[in-house]
Amino acid sequence: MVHATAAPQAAHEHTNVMDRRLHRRGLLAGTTAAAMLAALRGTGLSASAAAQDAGEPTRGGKAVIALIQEPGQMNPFFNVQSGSFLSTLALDPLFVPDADGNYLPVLAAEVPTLENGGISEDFLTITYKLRDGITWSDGEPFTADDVVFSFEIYKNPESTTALGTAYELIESVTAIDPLTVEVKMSDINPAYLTLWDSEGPVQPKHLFESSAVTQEHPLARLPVGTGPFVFTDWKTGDEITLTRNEKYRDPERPYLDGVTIKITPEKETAIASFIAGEFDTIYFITTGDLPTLSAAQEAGDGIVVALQEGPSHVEWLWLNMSDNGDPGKPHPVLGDPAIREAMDHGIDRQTVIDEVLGGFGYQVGSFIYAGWAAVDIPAATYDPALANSLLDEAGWVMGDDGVRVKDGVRASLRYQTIAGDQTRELYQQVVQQNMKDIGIELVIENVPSNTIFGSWEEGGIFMRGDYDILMSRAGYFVDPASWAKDFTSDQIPSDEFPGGFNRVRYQSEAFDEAVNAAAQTLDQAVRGEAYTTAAQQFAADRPSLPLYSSAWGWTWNERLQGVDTAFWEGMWPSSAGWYVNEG
Amino acid sequence: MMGIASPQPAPSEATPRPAASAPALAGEVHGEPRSLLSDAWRQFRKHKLAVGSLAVMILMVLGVIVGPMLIAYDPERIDFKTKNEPPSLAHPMGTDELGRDQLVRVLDGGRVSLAVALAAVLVAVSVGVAVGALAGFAGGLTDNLLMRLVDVFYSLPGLFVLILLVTLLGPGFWTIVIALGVLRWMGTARLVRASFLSLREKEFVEAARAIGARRWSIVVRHILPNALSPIIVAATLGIAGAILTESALSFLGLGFQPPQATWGRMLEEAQRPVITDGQWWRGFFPGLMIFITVLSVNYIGDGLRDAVDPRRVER
Amino acid sequence: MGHYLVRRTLQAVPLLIAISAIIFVMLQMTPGGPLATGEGGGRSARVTAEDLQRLRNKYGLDDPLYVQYFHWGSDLLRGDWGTSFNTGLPVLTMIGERLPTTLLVMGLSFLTTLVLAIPIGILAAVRRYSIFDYLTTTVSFLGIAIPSFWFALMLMFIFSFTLGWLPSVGLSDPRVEHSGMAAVIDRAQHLIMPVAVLALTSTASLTRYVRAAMLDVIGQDYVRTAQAKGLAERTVILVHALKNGAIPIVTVLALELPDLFIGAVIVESVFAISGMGRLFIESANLRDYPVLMGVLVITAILVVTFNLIADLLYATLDPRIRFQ
Repeated sequence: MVHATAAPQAAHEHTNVMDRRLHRRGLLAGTTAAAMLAALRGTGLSASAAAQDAGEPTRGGKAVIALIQEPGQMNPFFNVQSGSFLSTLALDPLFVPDADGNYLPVLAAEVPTLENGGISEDFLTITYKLRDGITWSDGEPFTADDVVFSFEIYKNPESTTALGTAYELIESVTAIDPLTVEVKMSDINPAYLTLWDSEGPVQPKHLFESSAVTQEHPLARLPVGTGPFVFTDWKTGDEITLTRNEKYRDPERPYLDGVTIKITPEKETAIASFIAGEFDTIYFITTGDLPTLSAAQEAGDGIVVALQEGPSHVEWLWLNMSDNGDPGKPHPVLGDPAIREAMDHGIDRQTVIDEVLGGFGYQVGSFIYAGWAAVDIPAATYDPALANSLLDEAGWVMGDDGVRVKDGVRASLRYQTIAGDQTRELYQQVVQQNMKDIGIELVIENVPSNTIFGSWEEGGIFMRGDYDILMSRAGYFVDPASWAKDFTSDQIPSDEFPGGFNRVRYQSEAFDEAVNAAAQTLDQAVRGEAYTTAAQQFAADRPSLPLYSSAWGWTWNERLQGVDTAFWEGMWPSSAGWYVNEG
Repeated sequence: MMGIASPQPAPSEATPRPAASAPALAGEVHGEPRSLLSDAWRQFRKHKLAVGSLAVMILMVLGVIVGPMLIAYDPERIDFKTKNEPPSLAHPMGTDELGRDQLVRVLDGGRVSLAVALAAVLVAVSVGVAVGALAGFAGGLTDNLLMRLVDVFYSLPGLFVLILLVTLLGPGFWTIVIALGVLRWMGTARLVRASFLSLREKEFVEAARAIGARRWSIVVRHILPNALSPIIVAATLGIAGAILTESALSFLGLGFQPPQATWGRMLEEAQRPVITDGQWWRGFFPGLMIFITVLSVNYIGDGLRDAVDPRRVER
Repeated sequence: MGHYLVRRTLQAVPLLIAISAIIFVMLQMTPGGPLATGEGGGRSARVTAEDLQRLRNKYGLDDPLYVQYFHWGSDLLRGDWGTSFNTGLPVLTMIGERLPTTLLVMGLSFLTTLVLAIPIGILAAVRRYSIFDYLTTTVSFLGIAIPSFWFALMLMFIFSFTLGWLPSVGLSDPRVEHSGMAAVIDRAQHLIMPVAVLALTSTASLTRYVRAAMLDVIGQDYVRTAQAKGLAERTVILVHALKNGAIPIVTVLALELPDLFIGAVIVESVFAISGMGRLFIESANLRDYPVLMGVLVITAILVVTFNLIADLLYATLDPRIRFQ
């Protein structure tokens, strides 16, 4: 097994994972580290593809990564677009989660625990020990001052950082000595291991003239780090090049001379070119690509497809509970629980998975389906007859045009997602037909991503509640605290509270109560119970419907060796060990 | 007008899209409209390819209107039992990944593709005729202003504006029709204006004026019919351009929303099946339909041009 | 004529103002904006509200629309094209990186078009109703009738994925750093298909145009006279007919350039070429207003310029035309 870390410690027991893949918020107050430490449950990936065994690694050669969506900046400290994640080739995190969700130290010397004194008794002070002998790629030493400076950037009101809310709980960051950083929290911060990870890596103090750093700064675009490769050039829209970091902490590595990130905006073309051998891997693939890629693998096209076991992100149908965003008025159609229940039973999930996704997906019925608090609720059974009778009982009368009507309101709804995803369009049509069979008309109106996810001020339709049904992926969290909080009624966005994230405008006292109860206790058993109540309430109210859970995977050309997917983030943290076997 | 945005063959129009100052050529002036028509038909019939193409187009239009009613399959009904089938007797054009019959989708999609193109051309011609007639008849400042407006629109980066409009407004029948139409009326406007300028002083118009005909009726009964022929030619060829542009928009993800088929969308959806799964029928048939249509429309345009401009043929 | 030039150039100014204002308003009226966070797709989708507000302040997004437009316009007049919301790079830098690529692909396609269309068109006109003429007509109609993205995909399917002769995407081999002759060959291999696709449509239509223009002049009296005088056919065609036929041809050529420029958007998408067309589509999707406006202004300037050139050429070649 090849690891990005030169000498990874044996997985630290009881080191919890705060998944931040989709969600940047740290957990809200109320969890103790102790409760958290006891919380680990194996929900992560048990990677299926071990490092390939193909003889001795050789030095030299380049790997080419096809990148579908070019980010504005490569430094994730200033950018939230998916593409900036590839900076992990050049920037090391303090800790990296392995496939099971155990954090391993990278730039840190050890994982802070109560036992080793890294965590104070009141859980409010975390002491990070840094690894000795690390240098930035320009040869300057990496020290505690860099960590302190990174926090100063975030604190500087002139800066335009793009960090998660885990940083909001930090009160102060102090360098005790060059290799020791003390972080004081204003409240218990269960996300302490995600600070300065691959989404907000430490910045080199000596290269910045001040802590006011905006996204225009050259180092925001092409950052400098301590990782195996060094960014050298970026031809926008064309390619980003990285070369070997000669100062890398492991003198043997990386094996590759460099990595080229080739921007290929048409995914269909990118996949075809990848299968034809022009690229070594793609960032990133989704469930809909897996059938094609697996078929190519079986056909002997020389590619490897590695799958993560178990569910990942769920494709949700967000049902607007309000009339055009006004939480005081229920949605004329979706406000009726019978409609939502009928829809839930009317969707043929298994057919979507089997026929459109080539079997690469899972049925999920629970709002909290992953993580330590996972609540086992099966997906609603596919039963159109039941769905029809539910609607009949609720007074929705079938109209002449096959669409039900009640009190003059037609059961006709807009069904929107991000335009341009062909796989999504396929199952949208299946869902549309499923709904047609029970007398609900769905009109597909897909729009650009920015139209859906625009902020409140920008009039983003999700924020504003200007939609009927939206579809997007979310929900894969180890700890459900922040995810659950996004559905409580005090989080409904409004002019006064434009940052609210309860965009489906779900209002349930029972749900609110359960989620708040979970946030107010330190007792894991009580929290778990509260989340079970919340998930059951959610399943009964159905403010959103899970369509399927994605299978998650990575793919690369056989030419590329030494790829290891034993990390939470898949193959990417193993780049120092990649090598190519030509000839 | 030869790029992607407007891929019609340029030589067809009586004016080779001259810039503002270049003299716009008037269509040849003929006597009475009626004899013009029968004259034209006689000429048109000589162009065998055009006649053949007209027949093909009539069949095509009938096919897309009547066809879907005659075929037992629903263009949108999903049936996974029959997915990804190559062409067979039951499904002469095969099926797609949702098990839908491609033939009925090609016909149903053709109806939309043709309707979009036709509607876009109608919008373009209506705007063009209105602007051109007003400019040509009113003259003076109005004429000047309107012609500057034509310049403005000619200077718009067509496909870019189209992409922007559809990105912002969201794709839909009328968005696409209006976006296409709004960017294509200028040629017609110039043609009509030129005809007006040359016809205004002609004897029969003078005569009509002398016997006290109203301005309006002069325009409608005397001048417009004479300006008609170049407009028809330009409009015919505009259909081809609109069909191709619709397919380009589909490729850019700005076409119609599913489950509606159009030829452009079907081609776009066929990318992966054709390239990675070898399902040639997915791309071949919609591509063939676009091809046949554009080809026929071009031949018809060719024939029409010869028909309304006999000088060219008998030279 | 100088007066005419000035007038036409001045006309372009209100035109650009009108276009930019319309687009500015359109952009702001539609839901969504440059600070949307997106679905994530493997990454976080959430930034703190404070961070968002800082960006809004920084870009003046809370200002009234006319203030924003005024700022943009006055900056532009001072030569400041603004900064991309997305990349933080100056707009001119981004355009500067993309423009040469587009001009290269466009220029090569234009040359290809010229080299193919003019001789073929002349020959087809001279040998009217011959097999060659019919063949030309048929092939050019074929060229006109194929949607270019499909033609591009089919070329890629055949030459890259099936035969493996040509690289499918980009303009250079990302795995190997070539130099000297090898780099030129590498670049040429990458350019063949994009140029072929872009040149196909324009060659097809230009051929038709050349043919028609030549037929027009061949029928003229002076050509008949020249023929009657027993001048060699080649001389008649090349000297007398072509000289006159050139007028409309040249005009059309000049008008064709902006179309090639804009048409490159499809080719750039299919072949993952980083040019102006791609930049436009990406900034439209990201609502990157400064870049979007920059690209539109540049394109509009190009279109206006080529229109002007066409006018001037027309006038130079045809003395009968007088500028108003």
